Amino acid sequence: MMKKIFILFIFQFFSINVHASYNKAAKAVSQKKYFVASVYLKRAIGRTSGKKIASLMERIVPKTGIYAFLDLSIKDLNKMGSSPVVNYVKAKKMFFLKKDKQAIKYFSKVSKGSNFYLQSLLNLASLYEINGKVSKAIKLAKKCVKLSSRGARVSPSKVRGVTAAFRAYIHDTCEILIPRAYYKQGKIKKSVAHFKRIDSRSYQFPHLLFNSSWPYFRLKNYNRAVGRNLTFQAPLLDNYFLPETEFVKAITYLRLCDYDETIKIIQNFDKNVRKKLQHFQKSFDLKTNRSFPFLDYMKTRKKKKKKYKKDFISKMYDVLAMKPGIKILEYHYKILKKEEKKTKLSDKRAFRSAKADFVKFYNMYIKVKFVGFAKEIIRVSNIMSEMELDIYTYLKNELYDKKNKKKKRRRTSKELVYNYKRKRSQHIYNFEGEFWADELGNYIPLIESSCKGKKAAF
Amino acid sequence: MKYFIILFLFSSLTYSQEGGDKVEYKYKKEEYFDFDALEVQGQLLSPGDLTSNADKRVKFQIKNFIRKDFDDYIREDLIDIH
Repeated sequence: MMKKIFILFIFQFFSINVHASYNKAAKAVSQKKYFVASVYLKRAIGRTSGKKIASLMERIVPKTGIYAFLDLSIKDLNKMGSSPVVNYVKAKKMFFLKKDKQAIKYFSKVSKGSNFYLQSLLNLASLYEINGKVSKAIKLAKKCVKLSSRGARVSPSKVRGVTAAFRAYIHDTCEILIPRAYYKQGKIKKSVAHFKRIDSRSYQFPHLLFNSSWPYFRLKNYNRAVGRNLTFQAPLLDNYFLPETEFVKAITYLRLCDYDETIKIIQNFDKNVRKKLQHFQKSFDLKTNRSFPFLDYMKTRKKKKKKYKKDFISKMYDVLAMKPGIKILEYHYKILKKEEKKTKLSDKRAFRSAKADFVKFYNMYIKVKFVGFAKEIIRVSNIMSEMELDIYTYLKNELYDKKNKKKKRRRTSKELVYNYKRKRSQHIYNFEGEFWADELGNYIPLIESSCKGKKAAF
Repeated sequence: MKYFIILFLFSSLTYSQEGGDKVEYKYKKEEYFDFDALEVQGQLLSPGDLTSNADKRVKFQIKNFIRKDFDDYIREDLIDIH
């Protein structure tokens, strides 16, 4: 008899404790301590019903973000049962692990009525495009554009200054995905037509300018290919720097046999960008796996903005700071700071763990961006070095070529690139210290071909 | 015989010394070399182009670097969507 009572007591003891973590999490949510709740909820996985956990997670994630749950294994996430937020977290985890097929599987499971549906649509459309299912990607992207225009729900919801901006960002990203997809399909003219439809107030306007320069280049509309990239010199886009824009300009001039201009662009890139790269990599410890305290750095930079020179590091930071992704992180960080003030001693340990997870994700996110930027500079720089070397070799050979020794290449000022048409009433404006904001992106420089009578050598 | 040989050698020496006046060497102020006139027996009359053969130019091909898609930018955009 005593044995039975003892066994029953042990059973009751553990079953209470099994739900202790869940109960703590539920209590923390009711007290609006979401970060603390996330830590207790993770401890409850496998001990409490998956449905209950998923239901509580639906309330926590809009406040903490998905970062709190990204460290969970798929095995643990599967114990939670199926819910929109759980599927979204699983999908995002698979995306970060570059397991696209599984990411697609989980994004497809996010239900229509959920706050995560719109961002899931964008993710799905993008992943289909990357994985070759371009027609499907275009279809989903169009659906995403339609829904976001109608004010579909997103997470975080009803947050001033964040929700609307995030929805607009999703809308603009879905919109630019369509011409990118057409470009991949080889439908260059259709791609150009869709790029033209995008508003200049789009979040993706800088990328739109650069991306559209490629189809123009392929259509041999070299004036527009250069003009699009020259727009980055306008004051409004002063902060933006995309390394590949310089490359597109360089190859356009190369195609037109203007070797001097090509070399000027390459040398300018080398001087103002490539040579500063080492300092950039060293400043942020980009060559190692070590974590850099970007969160503290970004806060300090915000306070002492005037101290920092307007170099490309400043530009990169400024561009990053404007993205909704950072704004959402900052919104969650504000909630974290508020919660820190009201966290009791008993919950301090849990809170510290949650804060560490958040800071780790923030730092990793910025580092990934900066490392990507550095790699892009190296990639472009290497290609341009190769180009420069070949130009010098070609020019040297041209000089020693007996056939061309006596002939001098003449530039005719009247010869224009064949598909550029200007009406007589239209003026060539030199934009000295000025620009027309509504004409942004439509500037076409007057480029002359120097390849008279000869096929372009490159 | 021995004495005759010694006498002969001695006399030839003295003769050469007696015959040699103080030699004044005068160098030419100009000297002209006619390289065109240098002929070598053979099929080639003069050496060919002395420069080395130009290495075959490794040509930079723009078409190898034309973008085929924007997948890297698309993936980058998804990192900003949490």
